[in-house]
Amino acid sequence: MASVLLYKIIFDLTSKKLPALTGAFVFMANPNILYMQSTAMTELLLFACMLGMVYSLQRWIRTEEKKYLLYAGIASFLGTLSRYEAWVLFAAMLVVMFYVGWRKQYGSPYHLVRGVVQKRYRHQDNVLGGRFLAFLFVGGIGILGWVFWNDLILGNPLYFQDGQYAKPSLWVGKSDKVVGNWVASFHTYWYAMTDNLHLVIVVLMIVGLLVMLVRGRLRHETLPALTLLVMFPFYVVALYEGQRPLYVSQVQHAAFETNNLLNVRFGLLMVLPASILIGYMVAQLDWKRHGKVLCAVGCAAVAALTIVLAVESFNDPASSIITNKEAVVEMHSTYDEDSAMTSQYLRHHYNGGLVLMESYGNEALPYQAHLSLGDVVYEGSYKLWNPTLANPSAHHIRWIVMRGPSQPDDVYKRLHYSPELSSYKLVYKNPDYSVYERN
Amino acid sequence: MVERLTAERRLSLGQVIVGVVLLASIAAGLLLNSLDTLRVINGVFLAFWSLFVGLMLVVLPFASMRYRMPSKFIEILERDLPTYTIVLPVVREKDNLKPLVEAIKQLNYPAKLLQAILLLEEDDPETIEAVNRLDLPQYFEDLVVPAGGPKTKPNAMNFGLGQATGENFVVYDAEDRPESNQLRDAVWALRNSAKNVVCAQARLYFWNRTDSWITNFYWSEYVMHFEWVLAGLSKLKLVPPLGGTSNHFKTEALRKVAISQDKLPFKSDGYIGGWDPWNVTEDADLAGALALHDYRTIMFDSVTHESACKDISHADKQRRRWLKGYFHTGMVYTRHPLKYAHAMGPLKYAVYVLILLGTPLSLWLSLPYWGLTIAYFTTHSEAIRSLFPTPLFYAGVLLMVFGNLLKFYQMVVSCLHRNGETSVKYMLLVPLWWILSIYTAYMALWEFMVKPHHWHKTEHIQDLEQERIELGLTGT
Repeated sequence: MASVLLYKIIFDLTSKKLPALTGAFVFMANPNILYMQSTAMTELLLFACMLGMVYSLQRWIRTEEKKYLLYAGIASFLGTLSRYEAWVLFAAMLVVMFYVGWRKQYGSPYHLVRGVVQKRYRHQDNVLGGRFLAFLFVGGIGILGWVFWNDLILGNPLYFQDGQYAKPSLWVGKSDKVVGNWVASFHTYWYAMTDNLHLVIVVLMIVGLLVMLVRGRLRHETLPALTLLVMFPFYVVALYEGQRPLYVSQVQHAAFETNNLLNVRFGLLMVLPASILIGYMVAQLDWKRHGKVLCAVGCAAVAALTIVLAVESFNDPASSIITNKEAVVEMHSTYDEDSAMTSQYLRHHYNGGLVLMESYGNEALPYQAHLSLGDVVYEGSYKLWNPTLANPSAHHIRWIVMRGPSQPDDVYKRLHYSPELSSYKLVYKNPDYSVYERN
Repeated sequence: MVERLTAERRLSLGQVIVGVVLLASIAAGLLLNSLDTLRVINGVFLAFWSLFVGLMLVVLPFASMRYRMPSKFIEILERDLPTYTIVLPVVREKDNLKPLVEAIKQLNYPAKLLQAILLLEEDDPETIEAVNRLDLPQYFEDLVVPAGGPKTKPNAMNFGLGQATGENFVVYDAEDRPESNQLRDAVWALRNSAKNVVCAQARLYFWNRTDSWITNFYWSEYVMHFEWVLAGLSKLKLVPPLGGTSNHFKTEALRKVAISQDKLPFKSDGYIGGWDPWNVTEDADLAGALALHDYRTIMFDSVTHESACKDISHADKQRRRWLKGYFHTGMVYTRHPLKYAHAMGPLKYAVYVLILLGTPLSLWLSLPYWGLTIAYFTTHSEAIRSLFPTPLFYAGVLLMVFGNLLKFYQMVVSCLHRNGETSVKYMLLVPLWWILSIYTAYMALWEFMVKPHHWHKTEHIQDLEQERIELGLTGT
């Protein structure tokens, strides 16, 4: 879906099929995109929604058909419910929508500013305001619903931001090198981007950006696609503020000495503007005599380059595909070996009954142990977690899995040395994990 | 052929017996096993919600997207045009008479083929006097409806039908301003449709959308009703409950589906029971009667402008009548469900009754369900939780979240649909509108019990100068 939307965005901007296909191919053949398709992460859903926002808004700008504004709103609604990055893009899209609407009505920015300063409202302003509100309502209701949901279920409208398991401080320490350091923050996101896209593609993207700025002259219809670039400064600011955990091997971090890759997939988002800008760039080769040939050659060159980069990655996917590498490294870390051993034990000895364990920090364990999530009481078990932690036997818990003493989880903190464990016997132990079974 | 019944009585004996048995069963269930009984009731209500929300917010809007209205008329020779009877029921409308007559005069139709009947009420001397003062064109007639029957619009219209000479028949209210080509468009639409299409419904719009927050909501609801619900029903060849005015009939069909004389308050040749004189949403009832005779209704591409109530008091009364009428009509059509379903076709019948009964029922149920929702989130009561075993819980949450979301989206989209952008901001007041609707629905239920035939006259307090400007009308 994202590939189709990319094709449509580029074709809508250039009216050329081959460059549109080439741009979409840059996305489709990216090894990290291919790897992400094999995971349960929500990035690809986010990408499709973001491209839906861009395409619909672009079409609205070109045709002024109101249905596209609604489509952009619906894509925003879905995007904002899939990942928080879409919130930022949605805010930027609102600005673009309002700016374009006003410019179409009043022409120059001077008139725009004068209109705002003098507060001269006319009927047309209300029409524009109505369209803006329609886009805001349709696109923003997911955010509102999410805030309400947090308030109703968890008692705090911002639980997703500052809740027990959501605090940025869980991942990002104040001593982290990027926090409060613009250069390190910039470097971190830059490396995340180049690791995901490859430096050559990033360079082509930058050239494409220059081409779009020069040839496109910031025409209104190019603005939605350019808005995707806002994600770069957003991530830099988020890193600087310590709001987003992102570690790349090129920048050393204090928190993770053993594993210097974390959430490196955040850089993958830039493949969207890269694909559009590269497609746009090769389309511009078709502007003089022999332009068609030149354009075809450009497309072929980009496609060949993309294939070479992909094939090169496939030779050694464990180290060349950065998103895959992050997972591989994490799987082989010492910390996860204990987890894997515990999983193995449970896989062979678990024979039914409820299991009490914290999910946070032990995410892989139940999957590797082949436990049914319905049999696990964890911190997400609505209204069960705290009472069960206080008295597991009364809540029919048959197995207790705890992590500690290093990086102890909540189960360890609450039950280790507790008299509640008297009705359980220790059946398995390694340096990080203990498993108890009911007597 | 199935006999057509009237709304003279609220309920039939059979319905009373079924109701009593149902209530007794619920009472017994509550005594024996209250939790399971409440869960069953909850399940039935949620099943109803699912069907109703699915039909009104998903199926019909999607179907309406594929509905192609018959084209506007291209050319009809004058000799091929049918004679037309225009019936104009006017009660306490002395100020509206002149613009109404002007609007009729502006219709693009040969005067010699027209018959316009002003239906006046015996106890409304002011309007009668105003009519006498008017210089009416030759094709206008006035008819004073004698007292003695129900004080309703359909009662008056039956007199109009008794006097009608036209091959086609249309009703306009006093505040209606039809497009000038509407009669020709209707003739064209009926002529180019299947033989069993005997009614073409024009769209109704309010010209005074921006008058108050109430008129903004009225406007949005009319867009949704006429453009999505009725068009969707037409597309699926189901039974669209007609919209009160601007529906163009083949007169012969009206006479054919008429209620038998022995059931009517007046027994004379000048009174034909095309409409149920006791029904306060007479056109919704007539749509069912047409369907019983295998006749169909379509929407066609023409607009009649109306003025919406500007304030809560008038809006409440008008909507009370609509909801009471829908419910009453639903109860009329459920007196012999098997017979009607057989005559109409089971699906047509089921959807028709679902719309008639479901519209007020959905509002009545809103109150307890919103109450339960708020109570649960404030108290986290185990008792409320126990009413929602897992399947019902998920059904309830989906309906609450997506049902309300979809409705809100449709309201916003309806504003953009017909250049009503300035109405979008009012959609934030939707909770107030829903509270008003729920209150009105309960008042309608109360009225159904105590005065089922009472017709709240809708007062159209309109600025005629503003109307002329908004509609671009000429004349003074």
